[in-house]
Amino acid sequence: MSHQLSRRSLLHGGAVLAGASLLGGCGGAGSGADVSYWAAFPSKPTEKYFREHYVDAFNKTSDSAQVSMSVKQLTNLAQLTDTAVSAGRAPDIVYSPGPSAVAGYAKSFKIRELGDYASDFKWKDALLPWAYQLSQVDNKIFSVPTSYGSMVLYYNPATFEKYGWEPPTTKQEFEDLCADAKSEGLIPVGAGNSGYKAQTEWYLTAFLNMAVGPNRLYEVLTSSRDFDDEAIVDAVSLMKSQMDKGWWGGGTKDYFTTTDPDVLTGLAKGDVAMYISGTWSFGSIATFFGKDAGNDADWDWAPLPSLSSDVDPGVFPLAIGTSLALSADEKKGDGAVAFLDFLINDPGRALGYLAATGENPPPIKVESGDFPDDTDKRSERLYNAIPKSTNLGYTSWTFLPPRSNSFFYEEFDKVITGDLPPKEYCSGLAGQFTQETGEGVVPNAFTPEAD
Amino acid sequence: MSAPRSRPARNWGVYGLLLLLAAYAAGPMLVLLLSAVKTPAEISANPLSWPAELQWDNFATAWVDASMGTGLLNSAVIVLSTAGGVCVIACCGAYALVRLDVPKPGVVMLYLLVVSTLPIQLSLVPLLSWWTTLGLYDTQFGLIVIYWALYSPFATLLLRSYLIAIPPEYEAAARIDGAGELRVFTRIVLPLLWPGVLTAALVSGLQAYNEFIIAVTFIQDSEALPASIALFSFQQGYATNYALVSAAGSIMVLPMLLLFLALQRRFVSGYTSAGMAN
Amino acid sequence: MTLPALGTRPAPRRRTARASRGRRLAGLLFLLPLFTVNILVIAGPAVMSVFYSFTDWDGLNAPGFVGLDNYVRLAGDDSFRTALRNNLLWTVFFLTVPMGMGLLGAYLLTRIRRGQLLFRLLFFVPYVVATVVSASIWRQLLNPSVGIGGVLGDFGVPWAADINALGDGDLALGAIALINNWQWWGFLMLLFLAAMRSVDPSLYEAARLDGAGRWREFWHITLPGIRPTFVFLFLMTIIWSFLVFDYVYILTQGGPGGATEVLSTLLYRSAFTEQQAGYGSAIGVVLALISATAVTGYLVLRRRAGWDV
Repeated sequence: MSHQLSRRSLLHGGAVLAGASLLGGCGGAGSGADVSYWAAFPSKPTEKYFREHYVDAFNKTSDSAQVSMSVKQLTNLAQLTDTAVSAGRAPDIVYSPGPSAVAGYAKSFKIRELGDYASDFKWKDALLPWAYQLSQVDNKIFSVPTSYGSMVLYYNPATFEKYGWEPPTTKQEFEDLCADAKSEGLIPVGAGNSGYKAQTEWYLTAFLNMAVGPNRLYEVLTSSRDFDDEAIVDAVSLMKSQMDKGWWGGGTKDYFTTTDPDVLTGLAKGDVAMYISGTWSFGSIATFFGKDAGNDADWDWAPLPSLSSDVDPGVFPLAIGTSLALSADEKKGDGAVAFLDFLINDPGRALGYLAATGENPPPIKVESGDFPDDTDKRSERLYNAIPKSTNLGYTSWTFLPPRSNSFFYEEFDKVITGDLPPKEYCSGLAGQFTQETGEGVVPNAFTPEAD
Repeated sequence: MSAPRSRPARNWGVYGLLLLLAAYAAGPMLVLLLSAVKTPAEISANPLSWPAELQWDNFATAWVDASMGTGLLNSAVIVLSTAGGVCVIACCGAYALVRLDVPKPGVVMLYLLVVSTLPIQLSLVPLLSWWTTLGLYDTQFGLIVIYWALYSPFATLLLRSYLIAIPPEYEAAARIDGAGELRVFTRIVLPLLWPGVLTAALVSGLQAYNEFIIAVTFIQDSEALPASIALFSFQQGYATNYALVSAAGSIMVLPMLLLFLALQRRFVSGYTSAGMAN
Repeated sequence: MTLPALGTRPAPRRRTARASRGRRLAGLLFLLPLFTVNILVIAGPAVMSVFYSFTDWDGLNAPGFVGLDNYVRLAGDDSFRTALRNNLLWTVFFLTVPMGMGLLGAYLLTRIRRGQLLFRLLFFVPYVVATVVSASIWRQLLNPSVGIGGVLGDFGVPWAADINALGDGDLALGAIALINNWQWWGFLMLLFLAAMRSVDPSLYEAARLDGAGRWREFWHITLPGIRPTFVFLFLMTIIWSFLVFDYVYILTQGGPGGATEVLSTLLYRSAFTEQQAGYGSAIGVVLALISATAVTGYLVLRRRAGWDV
């Protein structure tokens, strides 16, 4: 409609008072033959790469549907989508920060089942088995996972060399390193949740996987054990005691005012010994290390240590960063699904994106030879290691339903401040989880392979 | 221009206090400008330090990466339409409340106060579906109407409070001479009320300028988004590049500062000049 | 409402009844735009919210009626109690500190001629800065190791470096209030200044002839002169204090451990993060009821006491 034109003439005319803007208002985006898609990116270059290699590339090959992408922010994309879905104004391709939100949409018939498409496009063969399982709600495919990652232990090799440390693998090694780092005046494990409150769940998730292990967590997630299981209460208490010693984030007060960039800066400067965080940082970590940051620091990662004799070292807690689904109101199903398939069906394209931007790839089967030569070796090592590993764990934001997930980090902050004893925290979480299990919105946890 | 004339210049105390207040207000502003020309690492290491090298590039990066040119033009449309509309709505409302025979003006006032107590977060979902039905979703006009509704109760009550302080005799004289209400309002009341109107325009315009929650919820077309959204586009994984935010923030302050300066003189006129004209 | 132009027609002096009817119609017409947008955007959705507050709506599925369940749950919710207490503390702070500073700044500005423009500009500039930006400045300034505290620590005030205001549950709310005040008081100053300019200068002349001091002048002429504005801002401060959201959400998101939770952040978390739109609506309704009660209470008292505003 006259949208663009009238707004421009309005600007040129300069008559921009109330009545005049009536003209600027009519029309709007999202009409026509476009498939609307909302996305968010960790940086501008990443956004440019994605637009060129995915959106534009797809639109060139497609004659049925054209994808029109509007860019939001990582921190508000999920909420904007939620509001739009509630108001019946969802974009054609519905974003979810993982399978947990997908279940809610599917249960309320806001998104479409993709079963037929899944078999046409052979998604079962393309996706890693655990990811395929996670994309199901009540045994039907509703979404496509387009990025996955894990939690790892980041460290600065120069710092480790200086103090003669090795990446820890066992509880003893981890505790020795922490004590040593503390006595040297370093923050043993960088941590903080200023700016993004849910960061708390990164650390707690990693800790539970290290100290409780995937097998037991699986039993909890499938309700054959409860969240106030002794092993979990012990793990939460252990983490609390380590925080009280100042091992995590340098003490409870500092914890609440430390941001993710603060920790990464500290890691580069050698003030922080280790950082347990997600592999999503692979894309943005270069800002803090080396040329871009004006220093000569470097980073590397190691698999997570074990914090219990019952858990094998090197667990990879799995996380789906993004799941995409189709809005129930969507009219151009074939074209929109073709775009979803375009995002995951070509390992070369996905790994090219990883090589160029560090962005996490979709959980698809890849061969070692698929990685482009310019792939960061650390990324390549990770995405070769995870599909081979049988020690796969669970992250809270991917495997917990919404209310339990919110409780998981909101209330743990009270454990950190000492206002809530670990045991009460766990029984509160158990209550919340039981309730949501009853509502049938718990994501479909994969069966652990580790023995 | 009244008080100081007859007093000797014993104003050291006054100036001392003013300087103290100015330091409180301006100190953090300096930190903002400083942050705009540093690297994120320098900000994290010491926010008060002078940068090793002035990063003027930050302004260019912020301008380009967040499409601030388009954003500021959109903001100009949104802010001027909001301020203009709010002023018209509020002037009419306040005048009716104070000078015209509205049944139960107290109840109207109470209504305006009570609707001001409603949290906007509550309205987002119903409003979004109504706006879709009315064809106002994803349009700047739709956003502007929301701003009119949000900012006009305050502006109305503010203007009302200024209007009460103006003696009604001037209008009574005009009315006896047979002038209609609209004429009385534009010729007599408006000039007296002008500082108040400017204040209401400034306040509603500024609120619209810095507002983003409603803007991002109701506008999806990135070409139509206001500049305030720029401050959210400097993501670095899960955190924000504060150097670029500071640069974009400084750029955003500038037009409003110029506008404020340009309006300065108008603030000064008011009771005195209008009174003399009579 | 079929007489659009009637109110603007000259009112003949003789027929006063018709004239007053004309003015009444004009009054309603003048109020029309205000009410149209208001009902459409604010009151309408608010009615929906009241309805949702009696349901178990999750934002997605059809709402089911649950009676007073949400309100009963609210009464027993510890987070709600903390949030309410924080809103009350916030109200007390904003009724005193920024109001006082705004009055002081405005009054001082009426007393000087040189540098008026500069000071006015300096006081007002923080209000122009977007919330996200001023929050980021102050987060840096309050950083215990590298901010103001750190600098003071280096200059021999060691305890200053131990204060981590935003990370300490006992101090965080006060710190957020101080940050919000930095931006806010200049705005109040401007409104008070505009009101002070409307005070009849001849009153000051008269007071001066009587030999009144500055304090008496302020107390007996300035304050009564700006009373409508003052009372109005007093009421709005109460209302705004219950709606506070931006700074809390950006700086602490209600943390550490819920210590700075306020009603609107609790509402937001319930409705959006936890997908309990029904419960969130109940919080919103209670929030609005509390501040509406405070405001109405004030207006009734005022009428009883015969105050003239």
